[in-house]
Amino acid sequence: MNLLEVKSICKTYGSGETAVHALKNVSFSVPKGEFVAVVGESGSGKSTLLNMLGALDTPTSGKVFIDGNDTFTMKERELTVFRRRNIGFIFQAFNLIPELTVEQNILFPVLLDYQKPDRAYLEELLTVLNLKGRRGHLPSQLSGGQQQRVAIGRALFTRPSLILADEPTGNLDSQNSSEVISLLKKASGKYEQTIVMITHNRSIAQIADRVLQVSDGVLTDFGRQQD
Amino acid sequence: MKSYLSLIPISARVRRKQSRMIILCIVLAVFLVTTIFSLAEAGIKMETNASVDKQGYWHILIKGIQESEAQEISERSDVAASSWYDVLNLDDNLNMDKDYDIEGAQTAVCGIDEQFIGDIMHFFSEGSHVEDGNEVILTENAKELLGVEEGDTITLNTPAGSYDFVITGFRISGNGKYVNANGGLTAALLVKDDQIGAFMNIDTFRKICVENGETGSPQYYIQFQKHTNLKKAMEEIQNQYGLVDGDIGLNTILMAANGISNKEYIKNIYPLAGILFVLILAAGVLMISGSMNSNVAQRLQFFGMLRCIGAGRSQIIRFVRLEALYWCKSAVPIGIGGGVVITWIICAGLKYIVGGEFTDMPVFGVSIVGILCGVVVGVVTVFLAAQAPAKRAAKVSPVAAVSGNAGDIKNIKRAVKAGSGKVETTLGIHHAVSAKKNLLLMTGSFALSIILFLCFSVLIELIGCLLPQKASAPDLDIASHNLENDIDAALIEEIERIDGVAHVLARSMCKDVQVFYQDDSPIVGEETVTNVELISYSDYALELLRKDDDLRKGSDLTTVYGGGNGVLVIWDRDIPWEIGDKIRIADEELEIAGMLKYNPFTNDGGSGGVIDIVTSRETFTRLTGITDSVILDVQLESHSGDESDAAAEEIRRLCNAYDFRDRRDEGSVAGEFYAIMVFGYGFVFIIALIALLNIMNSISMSVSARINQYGAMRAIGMSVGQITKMIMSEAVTYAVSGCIVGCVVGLPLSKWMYDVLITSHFYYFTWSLPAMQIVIVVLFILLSALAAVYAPSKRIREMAVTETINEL
Repeated sequence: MNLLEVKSICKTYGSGETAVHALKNVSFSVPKGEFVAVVGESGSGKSTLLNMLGALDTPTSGKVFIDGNDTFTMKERELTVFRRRNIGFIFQAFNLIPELTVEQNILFPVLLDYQKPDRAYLEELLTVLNLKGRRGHLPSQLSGGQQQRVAIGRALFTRPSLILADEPTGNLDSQNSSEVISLLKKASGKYEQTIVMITHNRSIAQIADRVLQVSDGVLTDFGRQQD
Repeated sequence: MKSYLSLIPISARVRRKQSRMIILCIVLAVFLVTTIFSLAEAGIKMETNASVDKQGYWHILIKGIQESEAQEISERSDVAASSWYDVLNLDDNLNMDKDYDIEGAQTAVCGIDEQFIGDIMHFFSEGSHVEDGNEVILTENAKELLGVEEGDTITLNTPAGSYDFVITGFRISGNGKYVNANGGLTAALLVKDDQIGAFMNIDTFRKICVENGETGSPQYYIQFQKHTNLKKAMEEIQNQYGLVDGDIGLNTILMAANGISNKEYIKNIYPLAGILFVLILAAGVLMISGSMNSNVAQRLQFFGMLRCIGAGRSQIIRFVRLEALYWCKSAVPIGIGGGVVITWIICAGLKYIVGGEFTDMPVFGVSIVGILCGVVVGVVTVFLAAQAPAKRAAKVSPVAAVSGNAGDIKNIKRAVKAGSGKVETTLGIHHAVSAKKNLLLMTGSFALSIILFLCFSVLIELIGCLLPQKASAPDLDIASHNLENDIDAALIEEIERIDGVAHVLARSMCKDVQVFYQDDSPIVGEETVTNVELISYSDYALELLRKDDDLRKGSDLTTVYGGGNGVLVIWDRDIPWEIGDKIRIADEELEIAGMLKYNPFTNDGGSGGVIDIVTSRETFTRLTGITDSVILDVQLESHSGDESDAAAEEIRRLCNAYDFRDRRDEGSVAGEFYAIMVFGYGFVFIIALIALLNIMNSISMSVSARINQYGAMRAIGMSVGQITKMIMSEAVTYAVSGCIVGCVVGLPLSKWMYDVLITSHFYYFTWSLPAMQIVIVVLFILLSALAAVYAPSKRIREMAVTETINEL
């Protein structure tokens, strides 16, 4: 069963002669639990595509279904809650909340939902992310790799069905990069989560189950990779 | 582009919308200063003009100097004009009890120098002079009283003989009110309607004095040249002739306009005006600084970019300062223009709508001082206000341009304390309290508004004390000659029937009434006796006491009305009773049901050691057997117009056996009162506006600094509503801390001002917690804080999440 279905998405900025076609008729689908890497040059439309998948931006035409839900027919409030519960975001610049500790940052999406956090799951995640000893630290007291691991923890904590990662290793050195990627891969396997990750790094893309390439707004599916 | 600074006008053009708020702040500050100074100057001009018209154009008067000394003073280079002034046969109560008359009309005789006419006093008719010893100027009522005109000869009869004089002119009323039986406002020879004042040459006057064996009490009036250092000149004269303070009299208004006064009251005004001015200036600096900080906070990337491409820190500081001054280019003229126009409007309103004392108000005056203050204070304020934002902009790391990560994550040293509250509220409060300097500034800015509001409220209360507006104010007063109860009830009924009469408030009085009461005497059951003055009030008059808020807290009139056994006592420091105490008059037990705040029958509000008890008319009659009245206060349906005049005239005719006083003119005080109230509340409104702008800027700045963080929060599932709540809790935190500090500082200041300005002069008014003002200002601050959240949350709502995410 496909968790994510993208149908004929187009995104055009501006109009007339100055119109820029960021995405041209993009369609693809991703089954549950698959780890997909999206590669492409700068300005090719990767981030625009990710924004559409996360319902952060609206397409000029086309539809996106997540777990059968048409995200662009939802109202703002509904969409916010849907995003909070079903999509996890990981950013290149981590975007942790500076005044919250590691633990509070991870719990944050659940707190936004006024839910009681699952403490056992938190402990499990802290262990998996190797952050147990740092749970009371502020982001400013962590290394880049540790910060990104906290961001991953935050993305995983609501048990979203889809995780969108925009260049999660962009600010990390190679050792931290491979740690983060293997964590993501492990998580997608363990918690059956679908991951769509943008990367520039071809070698990191190799770790994904499947690679999509965006070039001048056109998507090419390179298909599933062999283990 | 000649220099990197040429970017300023280009940037201003592009960011016109964003700069609107900051320009508004500068306009408001300049406007405020220009208006205050222009109005102050117009007010001083009006007061001095009115004073010159009514009191004359002189600065000091000296008593007890020799003629030779006066001659020396008159020759000083800084003395513009001077004159002797002395008067015979006129005491302070306008009584003329000596045998000086002109054709049978009692006459006050006054000796003056030639400079007194025209140079010092302006109320003489054209051509008046007393150069020759036989020339005289008479008060204008002599024309009608004696049937004389200029050129006629009159004879002044004195105990020592008669003197013939030729009339050269008259003292006309001019702008000053011509004195009548009720007393008047003009200085120099006040006489009643049926009396005459005669001004003559001082030498002739002295001759008459000598021949009549009078000594006189000469005064020497001095008018200094313009731009004279009055204080220095006065001290020189004082030291040179060994004068003591009592020998020198000051023209209060003219000297006060030059910053010199011997009146404690006016001396107190100067530091207060200074404090208020500094507070307003501080509010201006905070407001502009806040708005510039907000502007800078929204452009951190821009400054980062400038740093990236090689701009040094000092260049950024210069850039921000010059940018601020560039805003002044349009904001200062607008502020000044607005200030001048609003001054014109206020002056015109005062002159044409309010009238009365304000008819001398200059309307289209342009105050150079006001404009200069507007420009200087505007530019200086902006320059001072630009310091902090300029430094802030200079500190922006070049990385900000690349990463857009404006909020420096490394600055955060304290984690949010997890509580049971909602996460967005906790975060909002944390945002407010974590940045100590910002919290201090915000608290200061909110507190300043509250302090200013509380201070202005005291000033407004002072106006209420100086110009009381009473529902009980009579239009006509009728009093028995010797304060005997001899106005009978039939006359009251007759007056009540006259068309145009609204109410007749009759009062009876009984002195030396014995009152028995229990005090702290060691002998239980033994009563103390004291004498009081009993005054009757009709039920309507009692009701007016309540309406006019003349009753002290805890007073209850229900047992006083209509012959009840409740009575009111006029409060004074030495009153032996409290509300609720029992007293006995004759055989009747009475209860003190309330107290009047002050004595409405005396000028200073005190009772001078006499205890006054107010009862209803029925109770009064029961206790004393008296039914007639001593005073009638008549309220007419209107203060002016034919019907009012006709009613007043008829009542005057009916009451010819009594003292009659027409007080309808005093209604003009109401105009002054409301004008000053409008003025006072206008300032309070502007202060409120400053507070609102401060709050809006500060919240906007805080949001700008965290805009990327909010973007990320939205991406991971925070709703706009939650973000709004977060900003709101931050704003409310600032507001609450500001309210606490504002009240802690403002209340003692308010009490101090009240004591200095009000209690020291009206001792029966004591400071009490201004609960209503506090509720109003706190509510306003909290509502402003909530309103201030609107714009930033709208900005966030309208901003696409991707706009911030992609900058990260």
